[in-house]
Amino acid sequence: MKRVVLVIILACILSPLTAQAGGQYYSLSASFFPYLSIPHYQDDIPMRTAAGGEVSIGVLGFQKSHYDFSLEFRYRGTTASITHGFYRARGFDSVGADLRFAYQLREKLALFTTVGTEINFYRNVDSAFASFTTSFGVELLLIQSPIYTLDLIFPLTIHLRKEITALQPSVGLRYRIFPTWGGRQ
Amino acid sequence: MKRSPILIAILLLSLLLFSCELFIEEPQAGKVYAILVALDYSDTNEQATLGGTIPDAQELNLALKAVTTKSKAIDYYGYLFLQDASPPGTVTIGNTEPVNSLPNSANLHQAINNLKVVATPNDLIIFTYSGHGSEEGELVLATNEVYATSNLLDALQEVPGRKIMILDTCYSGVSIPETGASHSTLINNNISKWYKKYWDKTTYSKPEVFVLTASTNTKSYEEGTANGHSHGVFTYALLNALGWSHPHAKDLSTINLDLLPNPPAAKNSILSAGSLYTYVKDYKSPNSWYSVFAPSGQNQHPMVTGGALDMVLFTF
Repeated sequence: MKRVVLVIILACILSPLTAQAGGQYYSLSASFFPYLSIPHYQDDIPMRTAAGGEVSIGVLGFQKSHYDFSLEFRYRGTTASITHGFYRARGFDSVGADLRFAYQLREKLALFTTVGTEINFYRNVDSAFASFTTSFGVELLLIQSPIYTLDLIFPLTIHLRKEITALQPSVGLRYRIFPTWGGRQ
Repeated sequence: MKRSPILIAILLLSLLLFSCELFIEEPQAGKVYAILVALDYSDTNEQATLGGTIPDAQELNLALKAVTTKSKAIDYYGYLFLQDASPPGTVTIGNTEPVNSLPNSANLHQAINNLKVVATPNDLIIFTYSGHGSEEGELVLATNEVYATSNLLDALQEVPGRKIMILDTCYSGVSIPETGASHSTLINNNISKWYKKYWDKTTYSKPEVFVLTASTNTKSYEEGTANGHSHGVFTYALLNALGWSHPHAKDLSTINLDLLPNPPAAKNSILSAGSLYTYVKDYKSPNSWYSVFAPSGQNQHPMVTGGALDMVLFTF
């Protein structure tokens, strides 16, 4: 846990410094996904299906040349799974942080990846767990102005829980605002 | 380039359509067997008398029977193990040998063993206990026998079917087996422990027995009702969750169970261990200042088996 905090603090310190040399930005992302959980334990079915949504706020982002980097804080809400037989997977709420890196392939196309960690609270049953998340995907530029951009994003997120590995093929939007510099180069 | 969003959308749709829930046949609900244990300690001076425990078991028995009738389950069989002023009788489970109904460990184990013979994997087994409990999570059975709850949990694990143990007793939360992947936020509440749990060698497995308790590591209480008898605060809320309400006819045999409403704790036609817990936790009793189960301090607060899975008790 101390290591995770250290990484986040380092990112907080370094990110504004590097922003001096590039385009600092803030971002807001929202996405929706089916939540496909593959259990590591013996279950009646090989995968349980739920759904969810995610909102991220990027407070420390910068863009330079063909890449950009940001630190984002995230909320994720996941529903209980479809009931099958006598069991269903519980829904939960998550709060966490991600480090995000994107590389611009073409004028309107970029690839991105994230790594992060979060605390998850099962709804209503007063139980919590820690987990890690990684994702990768593409973002397509929809709208661009000198101070903001709006992208369509398609992340495939892998939620690494101790007892479950979950896939989240998502679709969403990402809005970035550049307070001191022009938008995407 | 324009094809990418379409391909991704097709991929998403395919994943949804291939969800396992749609294609794998679901098991059908079987019978419901309930062992209801209650002690009022009227036969001993070593324990404080509890006036609400016997009504707890008697009314839970009827409430569960009513819920079973409304649900898709096949049939209900309730077995009362009561220690009160009346002499113990016998209980016959299926076609097994009769068991003495005095709630001591030998008789309860015999009853559970008999259930092993009659129960099938699709059945629901309910074990309830109303009585005293120790700070170590032990039950105080007949003739002051202090007995570890874990022994009964171990025995229940071997019975086929889904199992839920419901404990209305002090300190009952310490009887809930720890899950391998998550922590209770009521006991052991610490973010470092949550991360430590992620990396430790314990593993999560589907709980063989779900446990629903009246309290965490604190005392639990009883309260009076409009009928003039008492109930455990927790069981009072539980009865309401199942659709049983007070006041009711004093002669329980005259109550028409068909007229009871569907359980208000059921959500989307499903009554699960989680939905039952949520209802009880949020229930506000009209009679007690401690009606709101506060999650801190020494106040009573229910608990339930944590972890990734919730167990369905009844579907309607």
